[in-house]
Amino acid sequence: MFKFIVFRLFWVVVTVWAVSTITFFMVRAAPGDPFMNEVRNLKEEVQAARKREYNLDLPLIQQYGLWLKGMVQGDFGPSMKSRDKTVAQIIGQAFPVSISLGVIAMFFAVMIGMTTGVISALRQNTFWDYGLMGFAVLGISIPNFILATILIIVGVFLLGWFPLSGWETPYHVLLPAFALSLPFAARISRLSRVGMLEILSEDFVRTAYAKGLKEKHVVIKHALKGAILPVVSYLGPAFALILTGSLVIEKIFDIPGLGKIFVLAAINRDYYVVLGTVVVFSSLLCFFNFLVDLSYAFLDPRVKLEEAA
Amino acid sequence: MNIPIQTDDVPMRKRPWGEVPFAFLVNLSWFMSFIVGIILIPIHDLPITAWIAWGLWFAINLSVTLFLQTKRMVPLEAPVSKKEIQGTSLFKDAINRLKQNQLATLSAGVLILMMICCFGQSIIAKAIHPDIDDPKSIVALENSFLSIHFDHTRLNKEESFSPPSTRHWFGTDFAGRDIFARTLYGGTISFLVALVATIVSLIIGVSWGAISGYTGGKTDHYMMRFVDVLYGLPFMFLIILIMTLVNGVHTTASQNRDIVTQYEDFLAEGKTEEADKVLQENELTTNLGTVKAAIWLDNNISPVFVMFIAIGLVSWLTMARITRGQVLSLKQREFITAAKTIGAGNMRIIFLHIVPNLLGPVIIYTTLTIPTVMLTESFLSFLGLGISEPQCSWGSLASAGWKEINVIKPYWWLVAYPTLAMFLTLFSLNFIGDGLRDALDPKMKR
Repeated sequence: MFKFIVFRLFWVVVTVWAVSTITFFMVRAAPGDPFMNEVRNLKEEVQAARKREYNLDLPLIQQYGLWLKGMVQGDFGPSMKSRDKTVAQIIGQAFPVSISLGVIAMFFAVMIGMTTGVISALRQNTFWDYGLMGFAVLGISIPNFILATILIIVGVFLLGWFPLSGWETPYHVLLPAFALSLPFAARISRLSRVGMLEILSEDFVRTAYAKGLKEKHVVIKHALKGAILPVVSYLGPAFALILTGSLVIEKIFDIPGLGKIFVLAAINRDYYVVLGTVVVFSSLLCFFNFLVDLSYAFLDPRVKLEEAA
Repeated sequence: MNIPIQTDDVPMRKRPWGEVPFAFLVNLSWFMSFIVGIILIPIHDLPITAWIAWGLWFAINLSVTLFLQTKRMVPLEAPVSKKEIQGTSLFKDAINRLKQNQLATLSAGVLILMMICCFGQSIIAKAIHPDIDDPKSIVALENSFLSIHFDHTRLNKEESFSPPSTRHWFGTDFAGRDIFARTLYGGTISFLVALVATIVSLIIGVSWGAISGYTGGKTDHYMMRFVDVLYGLPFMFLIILIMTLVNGVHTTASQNRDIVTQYEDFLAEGKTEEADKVLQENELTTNLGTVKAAIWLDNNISPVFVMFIAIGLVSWLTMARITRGQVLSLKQREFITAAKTIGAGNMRIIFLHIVPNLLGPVIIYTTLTIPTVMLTESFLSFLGLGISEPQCSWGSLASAGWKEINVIKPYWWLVAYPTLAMFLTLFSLNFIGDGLRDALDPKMKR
């Protein structure tokens, strides 16, 4: 167990390093620099001074070394666009927003998906099953921004239940989180339906019924685990997709999250902000996947962690 | 026990609707009539004859359906074939099962119709406007039927933002371009994205999974560990970085192309001084090499194509996992041992014996990859990093429309029609994928 945890944490570090290195060279390979849009206003000397200030005049490999050194010491570097802020400050402001959006969306997705999946498995080949699964395919087939638009039209303009955009009260998170969660709810619903159907045809479920247990008991105590397992293994990729999916949702609902900052920084060539967001995101995702693997071992005793390591 | 035997009455059974001849065509006709009806409703100046024609179509559907209903009862005996009884292969079995699945066949029909419309539009547009891909070509406004409905580059400022009418079935956008033509044109690009990205992901995923599963041991472990690691990466971020890189190269190239041509012309004529002067005027003396490289890249690789490849490069992971699982069970089978005993090499066994046997799961997963790829593309287009004007895809049309409309300008047709097309396609693909899974893997169907 201990060996497994150490091994996986080592992999997390290696992955984050690899991704940040790739990002570093990719973002530097893009033509232009952080000061390109100010070029008309800045004199040659001022521009050179700016570049010296951020070490941009050094050879690329030396810059990489400096950045990595700062990274290890926990220093993300300065922002080149918002000159009075460091990258750590910018990310520190946006991170809680993105995380709360992602976690709430995840919660919605699991709750909606599991409920509908279990219901349609229990009522297989009935009106409920076909209806819910039709909705699931619908959820998978509509682009997120269209779904969000429909939700805005219905929830904000027709019903007037929700505020349009922004990020002031906890109330603001509901509609974006719901819009973000629906495609994932659809997938989770399909996964848990299949898992549940498989379990329902197992011998021990039949035995449970034969003992005279009520359906409620059989489902909650015995069969539900089967519906949870495939969902748990999907949680890792789903969380990654939800966090990156929030790029669009953040844009539509005008939420000051990490995604918005990342897209803006990538377009403006704000190198250290791009790198900082990528490092934060990838370490978060790797760590989350690690947790998912760990929980998998607890849910299914047949999985042995030492073997996996 | 005196059961009267009715000699004159053959026992009958009711065939399922899927077994009735022409059931597929009738289903498709019904579905299309509803879609056409939905399209007809918003057209405000529709002549009454169109609705009469539609009603006629509806009546024909109804009567054919009622007529076929009477043919559903058939004698119970197994039909005696005049030909010899033939054994069926696994594949034929699967096709038969697929034919029974009406949702899947209907979806396949819708998808094929959609593809015919989209690719038909490109052929027609090419025929009436031969140099359509050249953005500089200006064509006089033709008022022919084909030009109005099928030329996606036809501009007419006077008709901007006109709602659906008999002249423009799906309305027009800000430049007066016909949304019907643009939706079909966007469809070709969307299908191309799906095709290229899926093929890329197929090639990488299947080879990776097959090699990993077949080799086994430490190699297998590390290859799968690598896939696990990639699963956790924020891929969308990497695609966005790639796209900013590509867009940057494209901007640099298009800004400096004329200058560099001028410079090279001077050099060719032997006027080095004037050539240097051109460079100095445009501040290009120091970075001429990079600019030239950017122009070369932009000339040879289109940004759209890079996006296709980038999306493909990140969507092969699940394919690799599925393939590996299949290979692990396949390699224990006798025919692989047989191939080994006659001395076939590893590569030969993998690509000639194992990969063909993977076809089922791979086809299933491919049909489910295409919708994801299309969604990724629309996602990128929405962020302004995907396909750029004058080209368009369903995703970019919908997102462009989304940015255009607000409460004061409720131009719903800008968003509704591309979304409807995309939605129909994705819906069909998902149903085909599900149908194929049920057909190829009957264990799953309960």
